[in-house]
Amino acid sequence: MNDIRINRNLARWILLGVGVVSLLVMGIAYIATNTFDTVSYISLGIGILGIASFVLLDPQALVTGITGRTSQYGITTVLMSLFFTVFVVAIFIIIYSAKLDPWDLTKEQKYKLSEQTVDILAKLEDDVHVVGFYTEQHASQRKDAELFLQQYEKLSNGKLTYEFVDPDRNPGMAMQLNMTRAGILVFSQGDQTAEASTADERAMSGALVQVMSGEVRKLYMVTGHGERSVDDFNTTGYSEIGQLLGNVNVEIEALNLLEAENVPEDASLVVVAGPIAQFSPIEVETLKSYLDAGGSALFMFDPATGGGQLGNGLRGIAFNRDGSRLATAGADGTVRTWDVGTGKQELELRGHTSDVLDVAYSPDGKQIASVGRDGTVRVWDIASGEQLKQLEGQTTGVIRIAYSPDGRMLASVGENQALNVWNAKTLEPMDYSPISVPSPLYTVQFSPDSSLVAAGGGMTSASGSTEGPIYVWKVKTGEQEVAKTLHTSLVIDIAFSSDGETLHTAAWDGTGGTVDIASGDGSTEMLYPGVNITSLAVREDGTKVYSLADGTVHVREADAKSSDEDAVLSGHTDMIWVMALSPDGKTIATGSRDGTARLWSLERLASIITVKAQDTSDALLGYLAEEWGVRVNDDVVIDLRTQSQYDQYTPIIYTFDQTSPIVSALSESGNLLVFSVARSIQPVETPPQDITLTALLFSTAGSDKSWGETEPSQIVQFNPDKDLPGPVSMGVSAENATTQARVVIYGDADFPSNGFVNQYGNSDLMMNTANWLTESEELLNIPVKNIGSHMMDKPLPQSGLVVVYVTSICLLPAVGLVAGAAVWFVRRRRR
Amino acid sequence: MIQVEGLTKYYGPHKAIDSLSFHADAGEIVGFLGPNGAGKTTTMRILTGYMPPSEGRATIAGFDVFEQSLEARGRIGYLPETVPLYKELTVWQYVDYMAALRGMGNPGRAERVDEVLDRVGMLDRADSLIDSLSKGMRQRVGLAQAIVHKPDVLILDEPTIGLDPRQVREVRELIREVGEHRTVLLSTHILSEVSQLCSRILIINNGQIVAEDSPATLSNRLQDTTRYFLHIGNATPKEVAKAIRGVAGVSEVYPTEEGVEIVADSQIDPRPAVTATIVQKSWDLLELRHVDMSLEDIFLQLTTDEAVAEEED
Amino acid sequence: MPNIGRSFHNLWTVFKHEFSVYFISPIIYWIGAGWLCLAGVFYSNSLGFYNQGTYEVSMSSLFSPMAFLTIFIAPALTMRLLAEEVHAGTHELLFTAPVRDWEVVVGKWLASWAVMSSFILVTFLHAGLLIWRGSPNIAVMITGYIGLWLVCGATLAIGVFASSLSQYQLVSFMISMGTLVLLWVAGAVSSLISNSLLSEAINQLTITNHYHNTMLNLGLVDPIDVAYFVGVMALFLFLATQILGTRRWRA
Repeated sequence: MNDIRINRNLARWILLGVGVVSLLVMGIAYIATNTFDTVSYISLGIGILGIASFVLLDPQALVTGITGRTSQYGITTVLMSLFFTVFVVAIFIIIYSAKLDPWDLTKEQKYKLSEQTVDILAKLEDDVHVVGFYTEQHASQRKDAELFLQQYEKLSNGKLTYEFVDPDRNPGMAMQLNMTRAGILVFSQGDQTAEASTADERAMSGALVQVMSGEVRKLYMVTGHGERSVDDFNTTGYSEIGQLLGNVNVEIEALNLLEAENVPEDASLVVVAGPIAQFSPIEVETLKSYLDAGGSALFMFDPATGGGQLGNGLRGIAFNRDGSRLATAGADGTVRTWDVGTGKQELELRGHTSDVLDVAYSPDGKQIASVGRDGTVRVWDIASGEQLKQLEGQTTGVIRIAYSPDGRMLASVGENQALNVWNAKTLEPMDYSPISVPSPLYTVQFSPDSSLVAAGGGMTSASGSTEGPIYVWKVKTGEQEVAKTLHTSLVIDIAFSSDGETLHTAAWDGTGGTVDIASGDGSTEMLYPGVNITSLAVREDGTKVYSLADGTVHVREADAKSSDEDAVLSGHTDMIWVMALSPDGKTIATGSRDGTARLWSLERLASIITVKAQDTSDALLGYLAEEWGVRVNDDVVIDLRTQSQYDQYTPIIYTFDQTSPIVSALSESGNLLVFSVARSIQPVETPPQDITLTALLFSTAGSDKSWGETEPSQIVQFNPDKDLPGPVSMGVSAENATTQARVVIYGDADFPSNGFVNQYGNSDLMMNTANWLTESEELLNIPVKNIGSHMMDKPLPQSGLVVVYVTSICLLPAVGLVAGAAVWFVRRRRR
Repeated sequence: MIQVEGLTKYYGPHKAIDSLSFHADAGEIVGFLGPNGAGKTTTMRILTGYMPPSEGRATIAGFDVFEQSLEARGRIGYLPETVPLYKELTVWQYVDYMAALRGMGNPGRAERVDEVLDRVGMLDRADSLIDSLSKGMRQRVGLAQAIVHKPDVLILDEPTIGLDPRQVREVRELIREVGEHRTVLLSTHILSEVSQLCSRILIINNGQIVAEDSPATLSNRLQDTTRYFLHIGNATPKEVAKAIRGVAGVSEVYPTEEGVEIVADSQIDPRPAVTATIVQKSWDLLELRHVDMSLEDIFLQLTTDEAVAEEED
Repeated sequence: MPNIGRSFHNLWTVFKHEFSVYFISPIIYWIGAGWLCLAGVFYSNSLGFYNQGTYEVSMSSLFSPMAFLTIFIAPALTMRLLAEEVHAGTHELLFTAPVRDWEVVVGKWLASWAVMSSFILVTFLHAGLLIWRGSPNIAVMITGYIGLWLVCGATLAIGVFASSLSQYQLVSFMISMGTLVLLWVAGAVSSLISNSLLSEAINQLTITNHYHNTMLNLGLVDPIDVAYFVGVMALFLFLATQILGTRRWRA
């Protein structure tokens, strides 16, 4: 009898337990997911059944259970507990809703608002709503934001409201508000929006002021040096970042510093995005005036631009009619002329926005024609040093230019697979120009009598075979006279014989050839196996001069049987791009990738003069180094750690400065950046007066893993004498305390481009930079909270460290154990 | 001092004590006698404030044990059956802690602890760990903590259980001494203890009080026969028994090892006739005495009667 | 009022007894030594970084794991407190003494808090070194200590409650450790819940949200955090008292 009783009792309690748990589960699930489905009904059912069976299995027990004195106490206890719990929770909720300000013990009082902010909030008339987009990763920033916004809300008497949206948990909401990034506070008033990218007073009040004033920030992008554009939708373009900036009321316009006398008054920010050609001193002055007046600028420099050792040096070289002058075409975007006798530079012609690839003197000595990588053919007036005209035609991809000896014609060829011919006097294209050919053309020459024009080039077909055709046309009519493919390699240079009947050719694979123009027959001969020929010159006596890719010049007699008999002129330290024969045939001028032009005497077979034909001291870089203390180094950053994912020229950045508002959010959330082919940007040891410099982002630490390579080659190796050891800084921010001007310089212009902007934290970096640079003037009076540095002022010596380790890990606990043993021992004895 | 009226306690459906009513006056040592499970411990726990009664009330020194629990508890010294002690403390520490718990303030407490330990004879072991004490010593320590705060009422639950005879005697002596100025409620199922110590006995069985009186009166009340004990020197009990059976006034004779038990007739005193027989036989009379009904007998009688009565219900 | 005086007397009595009992058992020294050893490990690890100048000098990197360790230490310290009384039978004397239930609960709890505080006190040495050789943010250090102290108090209160539920120490240990683990990690779950009210409620229940965000790292003392810890202490001590009371009429 008793057994049955016990079992029944047990059963009803178990059933009750199951029932209650079931109801609880149902309740929680409902609150959590807001749905009431079949499962919920089942739980509800089980709950009711459980409770019912509890009652029904032993109603008597329930009655006495409820009415007996024991249960009275029981009920009292349960009720008391419940009430007390409710009481405690209620107090908690009240305190929670009160949103009391925390008591800040710190000296820095990070969360105390300045008078300016208090003022602004008091005067707030129209509602402002703030949405903080923070994910789990940004927990501490969110807390910061909350601590500020709490106060903002109170001080604005409720006119400012805020909420937090987690884009991970609530992607719908985030989409609705057009927000794709996290770690941002968006302030909106009406349809105006402004962003604060860090949760501190300056940024937040800044965004507040911005949104209140409905101010549109105007951003000017400098042009004229091959910079990136927000109208460019290609992978290298900036159209997407332009959009993102547009979303926060930033208007973007182009600015040509040569045309404009000053930077416009309404400029919040000037951006120089990846210039290739050098800046002229005038442009630098314009920028300087703007910055001295408290402006802000962002510079992004790609490696091997603006001159510098890593660039391509000299691509084109030409003598004038009498051989007294030499013109060079530089990768720094300049055309320079030189006095051959003294080696001194005379003219510096700027206008090309990118590398200048070839240059030629007009026979009358009054003009110079040049072609550049910017796809333009320009004619310059020597006397004034000004550009006369940019010639029309199919000029994209032009590589070479030549005047006819009679000075009446001008022709250019290039990768555009076309021959353009102009009237050199009128500078208008000939009727038949341009003429299309089936392959790119790499060289163009007029015949000595100016009646013919020849071109050579070639390409590798999809199947892998290379053809090197040459073409000859009648200048007057454009009629094709010869079209012959002799070489199985790209024809790199051609030269007419002095009688104009034979055409000499040189091809990239080291072969040379001749073509009889009348018959069109010709032959080739391997001259330099395994070496690339870069240009060819033929003297009147038939001596041929070849420039090679290894930087040497070979002089080959007309009757030479083999190249062993060549006279070799060496001196250049890098590839020779181009070569020109002086009109008197006695001198050779070479232009090399090493940036120098050299004159060689063919009689003495020796070097005459070496000129440094490019200005490695770029005016802009010089200004940044001197007045701002930031060095834009002439190197390319190698990071071996990222080799596995990309390549060693694509540093992935995960080391940031801890304090700068530009990167602090990235640092805290552990985000990364991807830079593509970057150069190092270094702050100098002692910044100029009033300037504060902060190195923002770094490559991997350790010179075995990353460094700034000054002489890139096939062998990837760190050179401790010349290279900069890692961690290499690739971004620096600078602020002038007196003028309030701000400058940020990055060593890569690709990270915000369409191809890279959506990777990792790249867009954040750009937006944060823009925000920091365009901070509203008004609020610059808000004192920068000096979050004092709490470092180890007197670090312990190694021995001291060891002492601490041993003491804290072993000795102190040991003391405890000994004490315990002692106690135990004493107690034993007490027995 | 102790006043109990209609005290009832249910453990679930099981009624442990049923309408108990009794009292103990100042200076009395009252014995609570009953078999295991009779309700002694439950009653004591209620009196000491450990748990509330289901019905009824009790007061200690005028304070209701439930309504004025703290005042009541302050006047009680309690030694539970299990003699719970904190094994890791020393004797002195333990008694001191208990004294403090029972409300003794710092001034004078240390001296009192010494005094009490001396009283129970444990002063020389004051610094010994309780863990190392024998059972008897632990009992003494337990007693010490019960009296250290000079309570008006002492409630002792089976204080001599598990002790050897010498220890039992010591403890009883202590109780007697201590009980001189206090009210003591003492529970036990050892009959001899009760008869020696108590001025009054409460017999409890199945949660009810079945008898209440002084030992002698109780014995007398229950005894409806008079008994004598006869010890003869030079004859075996068997012989003696045979000889006096049937003598006037003798209704039953029981030979035992020590002598002969004579159940007397209710009307006639057998002693003259027995004496005459002894003289006649020239036996050596060593002892002839009156035997009271032992408490055991009383107890068994009462409890068996009760059991029988219950079954008949 | 005599009552308050008596309460103090009782609290002090229970506290003094319990506190000294702690130091009689060798277990406490093992726990303490273990705690100190772990503290030493974390501290030394961070010290290396501070010395190199990689990170700012702070005790927070020590406080954080210490607070986490309370999940284990608080149950270990409290599991015995009430369970043992019942198990050894001494509760019969304790609950028949003129001592209120809450005085017993609070007195014991205070003793355990005092023991834990003494562990924390030893870390003043660790802090002292940092102050001597570096310039840590003193405000953050102070609030870090205050917060850690409050965390201890709260976790111990939960432990005391668990101890009142069973006479078996192991059961108490499991209950309190389980509860503490729940309260520690509840916040992680909240991100999965779409109902913002419920998820905020869960966030507010989580211990880490009331220590790490303000007192530990920022040098702020937010009334809501103090309210949380005090509330936990009050609630669980109250519940423990209630449970003790039920023993009487359940016995």
